[in-house]
Amino acid sequence: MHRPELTDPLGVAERDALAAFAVRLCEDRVAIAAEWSRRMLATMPEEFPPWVTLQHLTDVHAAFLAAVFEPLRQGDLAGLTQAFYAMNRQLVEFALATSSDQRFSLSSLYASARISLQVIGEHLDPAGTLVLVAYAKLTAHLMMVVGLAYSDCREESLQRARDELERTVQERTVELQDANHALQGEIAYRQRVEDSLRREKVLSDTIIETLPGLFYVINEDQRLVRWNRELERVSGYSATEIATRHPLDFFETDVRPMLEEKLNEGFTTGDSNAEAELIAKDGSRHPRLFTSKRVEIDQTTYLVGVAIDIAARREAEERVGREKVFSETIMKTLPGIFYLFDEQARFLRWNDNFERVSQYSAAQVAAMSPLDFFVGADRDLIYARISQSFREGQATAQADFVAKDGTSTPYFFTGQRVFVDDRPCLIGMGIDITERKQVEDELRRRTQELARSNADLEQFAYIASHDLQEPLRAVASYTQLLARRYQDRLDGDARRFIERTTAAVARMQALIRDLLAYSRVGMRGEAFGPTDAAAVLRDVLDDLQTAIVETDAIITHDALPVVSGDSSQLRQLLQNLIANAIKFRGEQPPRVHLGVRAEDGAWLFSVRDNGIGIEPEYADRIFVIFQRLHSRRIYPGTGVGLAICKKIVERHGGRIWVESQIGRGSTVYFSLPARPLAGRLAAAG
Amino acid sequence: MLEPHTRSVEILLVEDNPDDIDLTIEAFKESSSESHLHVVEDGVQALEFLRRRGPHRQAPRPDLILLDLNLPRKSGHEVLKEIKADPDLRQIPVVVLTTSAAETDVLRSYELAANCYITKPVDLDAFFSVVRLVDHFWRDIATLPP
Repeated sequence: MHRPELTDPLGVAERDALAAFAVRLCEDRVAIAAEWSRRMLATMPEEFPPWVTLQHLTDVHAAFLAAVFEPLRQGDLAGLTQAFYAMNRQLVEFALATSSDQRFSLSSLYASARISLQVIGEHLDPAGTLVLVAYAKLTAHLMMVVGLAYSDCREESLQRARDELERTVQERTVELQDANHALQGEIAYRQRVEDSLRREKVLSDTIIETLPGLFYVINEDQRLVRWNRELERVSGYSATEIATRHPLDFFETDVRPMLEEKLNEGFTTGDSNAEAELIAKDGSRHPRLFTSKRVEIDQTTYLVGVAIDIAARREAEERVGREKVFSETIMKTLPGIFYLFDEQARFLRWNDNFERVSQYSAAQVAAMSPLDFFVGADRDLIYARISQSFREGQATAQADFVAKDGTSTPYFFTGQRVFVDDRPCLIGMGIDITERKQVEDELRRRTQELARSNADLEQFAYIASHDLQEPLRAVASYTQLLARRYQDRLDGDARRFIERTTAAVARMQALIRDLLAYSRVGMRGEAFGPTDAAAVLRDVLDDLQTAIVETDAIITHDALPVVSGDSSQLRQLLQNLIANAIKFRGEQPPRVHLGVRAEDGAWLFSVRDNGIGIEPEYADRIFVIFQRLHSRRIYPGTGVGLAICKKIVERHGGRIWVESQIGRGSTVYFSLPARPLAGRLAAAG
Repeated sequence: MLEPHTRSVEILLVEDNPDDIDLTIEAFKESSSESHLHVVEDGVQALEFLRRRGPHRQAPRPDLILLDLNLPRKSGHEVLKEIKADPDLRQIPVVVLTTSAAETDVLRSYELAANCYITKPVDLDAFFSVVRLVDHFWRDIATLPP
């Protein structure tokens, strides 16, 4: 900065004049200082803070005037300049320090200096021209000093302030950065902690609230400090009510000592379990299993626990009890014998009936094997069936149960594999089938009897037919002989009677012939073999050729299968059915269709015609031997044909029936097994 | 042998049914007067007749046997079997004349060396014709063993 050079403006005379003046200045310094201060406050009141009083200012100015006395008396301009400079700097610094907005300016300083010099100048009057000149010179010089002081002070102050600001700004910046950094870290950390806390809280709250039971935390003062809503729901108490209740208050008084012991046990040993009924506000009882564990949280010990509902378990236990009674009762009242034994053939359970029927005591049964109750082939059978039960899960057997005294009774046994304590066992019962066996035997006997009787009947029919032929032939022959030998001597009546006799005999012979054929179905059947139905039909159509041509019959058929049967009987069957269809024709030429379709493992044949049909109510009757629906005059016949058909079909294990309506034709259905019939039926032929 | 047409023929009818016996006799009556019909009513008698035993000591040796199958005591098949097993009798032609048309009867008869098997026709006229034909065939056409 530019600093003006100060030169000494005073001569020696002027210096001496001022020295003389200095004495008066010093003597009047208080008065001068007071006037100076008064004027300053009056002209520039805004330059001073409110607490600066006239006295303050007067003291300051008086001190200044005392300070400048000595340099002024000795004519020491340098000293004077220095003092002035120092005082003004003091003033500026004071002003800068006290003026909050630093309104204190150079003009104020000049004004103050001018006022002081004015006051001093008035005081000097009339001290002579020399003093005035000197004073003027000095004043000019000092005004410059004031300017210097101000500018220096201001300059330094500004520089200081700038430096200070700079430093502060730098410091603050770094501080701020650090703080900012730290703050961010802090904020992030807190955020994380808070998040984690919040998450953990949500998690634990969720866990607590979704626990399948009651949740509770009890502190060492035995107060409930935390619980889930389930506790509120089950107990019916509000949160406030729960908070004020002792944990044991939720139970009947008689179980409280036990539960208190458990509570203490939890705090001392770390965990405890208890079963008790929680009594709700409404008095309802809630059986629960309480499981508690001791935990330490922030140097505080709590008992944390859950209580699960054991009502279902209790009910199940009760049910098991009931079912046990139920099964015991069943066991006792079973009409048969009941048993349960393991794979080592040791009896585990049996009912009273078992002991009663076997005549062994409970102790004896316990030492026996199931096989001990059977002898001979039955023993082997039972062994096999027991093995089967263990292997396949179940089996039944029919065997004679032998009691202690040797009496044996036919029994039907069941065996069902069950697992008792993971061990395979066999459970089952036996039923006395004496009566059933008797019935079966009776049935078998009757069946045999019936078969024999049927065979007898067939034999009888066969023989009778044979033997009936002889006298019939004699009747016919002698009647004819009569006509032959006595033709001329017989009148018309006699001849007519002979004709009637002959006709009756012929009819009788037809009946016998058909009866014979009927009985032969059972007696003279051949063994079954593969039979081509198409070939059979061809033969039948050959035989019926004359009838077919005479009636213009049209006979059609489906593709025909190979069936299992007696070919000659099947031929007779088809022949009878097709002949019937032609015989009982309507006004149109007969149309007959032999159909076939597979149904339930069998071939279902049908012979459909467009003939006169029958009333449905007679559908069954036409298959009975000698049953006829029509006059012999119109439809001659013995009424055996369809009976033979029925017998043939039944011998083949099939069924025959007719569906028909008057005037709409008939369809005779018959089924034949698709596979060969094994055994009885085939052998019966 | 030299004049077969005039020869008297001995015929044994083995038949238990009196109606049939009479009818057969009637039929032979109408057929010719040269045949002598002898009748026995069961198998045992038939063999006694052939072997001239018992009441048949005087019996002639028949030229032809008409044999029914359904006979008391000894059946027609048994009789046939014994005849054909007997070197003295087996040359005599045996005609099985029966009501049975059963195949088994026919086959068995021929197996036992019957010379002919005839099912009796039901119709009288037909029966008479058959008897006439049999009589004619064995008497006039066939050459019988000496």
